[in-house]
Amino acid sequence: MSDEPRDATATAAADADAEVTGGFADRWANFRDREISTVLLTVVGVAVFPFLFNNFLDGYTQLATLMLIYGIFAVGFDILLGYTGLLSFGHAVFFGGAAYAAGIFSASVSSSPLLVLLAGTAFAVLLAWIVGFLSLRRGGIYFAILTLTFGQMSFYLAASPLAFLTNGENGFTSVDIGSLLGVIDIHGGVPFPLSMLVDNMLYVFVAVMTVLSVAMANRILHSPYGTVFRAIRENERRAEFVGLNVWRYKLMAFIISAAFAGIAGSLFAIEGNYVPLESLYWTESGRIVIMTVLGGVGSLFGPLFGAGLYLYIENIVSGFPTLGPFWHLILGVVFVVAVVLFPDGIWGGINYVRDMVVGGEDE
Amino acid sequence: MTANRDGNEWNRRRFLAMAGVTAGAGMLAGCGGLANQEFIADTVVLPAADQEELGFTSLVEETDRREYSRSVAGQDVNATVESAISVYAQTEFEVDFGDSGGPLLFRFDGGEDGLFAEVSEKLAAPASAFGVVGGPLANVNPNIGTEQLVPAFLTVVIGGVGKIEGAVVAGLMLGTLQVLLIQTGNAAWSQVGIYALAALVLLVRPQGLLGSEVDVS
Repeated sequence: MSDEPRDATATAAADADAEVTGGFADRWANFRDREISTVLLTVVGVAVFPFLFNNFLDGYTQLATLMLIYGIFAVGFDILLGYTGLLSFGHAVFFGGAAYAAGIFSASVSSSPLLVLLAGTAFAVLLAWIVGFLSLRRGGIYFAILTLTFGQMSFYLAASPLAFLTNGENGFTSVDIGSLLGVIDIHGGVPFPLSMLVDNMLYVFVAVMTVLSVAMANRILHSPYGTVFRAIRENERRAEFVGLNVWRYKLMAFIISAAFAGIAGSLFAIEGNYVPLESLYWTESGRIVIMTVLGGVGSLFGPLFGAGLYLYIENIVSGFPTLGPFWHLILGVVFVVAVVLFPDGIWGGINYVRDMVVGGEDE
Repeated sequence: MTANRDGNEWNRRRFLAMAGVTAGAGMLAGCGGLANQEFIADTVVLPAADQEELGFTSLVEETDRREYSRSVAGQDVNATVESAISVYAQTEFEVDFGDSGGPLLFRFDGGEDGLFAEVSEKLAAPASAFGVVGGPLANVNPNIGTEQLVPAFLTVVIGGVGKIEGAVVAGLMLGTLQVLLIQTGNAAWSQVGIYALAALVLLVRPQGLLGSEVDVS
């Protein structure tokens, strides 16, 4: 796993090396391990992304926004799958549930985007507490199936019995998003210096949330708390014998991961002004698993790339003249190739190439 | 199980290949050849030895011949479809399920050649039989697989992985509950109900109804 070398001794050794030799690779490793640099890299990344995407990759800003939203979702999912080693197959319930909660909140309580975001995320967290409390009594495949069951239950709940709230199969259409902090029109343009890079206020809002989410995930994963997650992934029994309350940590990992899904879900409702019923369907849970695995399980940035590539194939490649209709097949081939050649996903591939160029450094 | 391995067999690949070749030839010949088509399947039977091994007895082994004719763009098109059906009942065990009790029916259609013959015969036959039986009950559309995948998966798990009997019991349970909810005027809850039941079974007895004890933590 790509996070392995970041244990205390390796970092300390890298620091010592950097002071002695001052080589580029060491200085880079030193820079990379600091929290502020992770945040800075993310800021630069999301700032130049729409410009590059729109000009060189046939993209458009709305899709770039969607990619970041799913990126947040995937980063959160990776905390559970990649770092804690739990495969949830029902994460759509938190994504879709938060989207519905955000939508309903915006229509009937307040249309302020920040409050809507908060409401959706809070709903996802509370829901995760219940679902996690029940599902985590079982491990392995039984956990996956239980989460899948709860996911499907929520889908059919939203489809029929709760249709008076969710508007059933038509999806929730009355999402009403007001202006940010009462002054900024979230669906409007951006002022001059920013407008060279981005053309849309919504993207800026989602990008800020992405940076905050990545910073939060980074902080969690590099804290002692995150180390416990990894210990549970590596050997649950040993972690228990050390004296850790494994079940509680697993539940918290589940809830943290659902909080990210909640942020993504709320942003999804804000972005589209609409919540489709399919956002609760099990295929949505499957999508996020594929995105995360494609990007690289157990890495911080990998899932962002995985989400981007998935949506790129789904939305851009599917519009190509001859190849377009085969986009599902292309996605499958990409997935197989990625898993066979780079079991650690795109991020694993990037690391591999970097090590070849820089010369192995600390891996 | 090596049912219908020899001689008298119909398999989907051969059928599709034949249909494909015929259609291709028809196109080459200016579509004239497509006006009269016959699709004939050989009968499919489970050999006596296998029937004994599995405890099946034959109920029906027959062929069904249907003729369709329609006029398309001023041209008469005739198609004859002859399909084979074999139904076997298992006598070894019976599940008492209230008034609806009775023999459990299994239906086998063609197997497939190749590497996966063993597996696909065991899996694909019931699955495709479901397709045949379920076809008239639900709308057939490209998503039918996506819709049925999860319930099928759940049925297997709550019955107990590796237990055919469990899958049957679980299938009947879920199906009965769903119908019950619809019949009692709670149609909106029918889908939610089966998932709630599945969650309950998984929480109370995670190895499945008929599954043996396993490590589930």
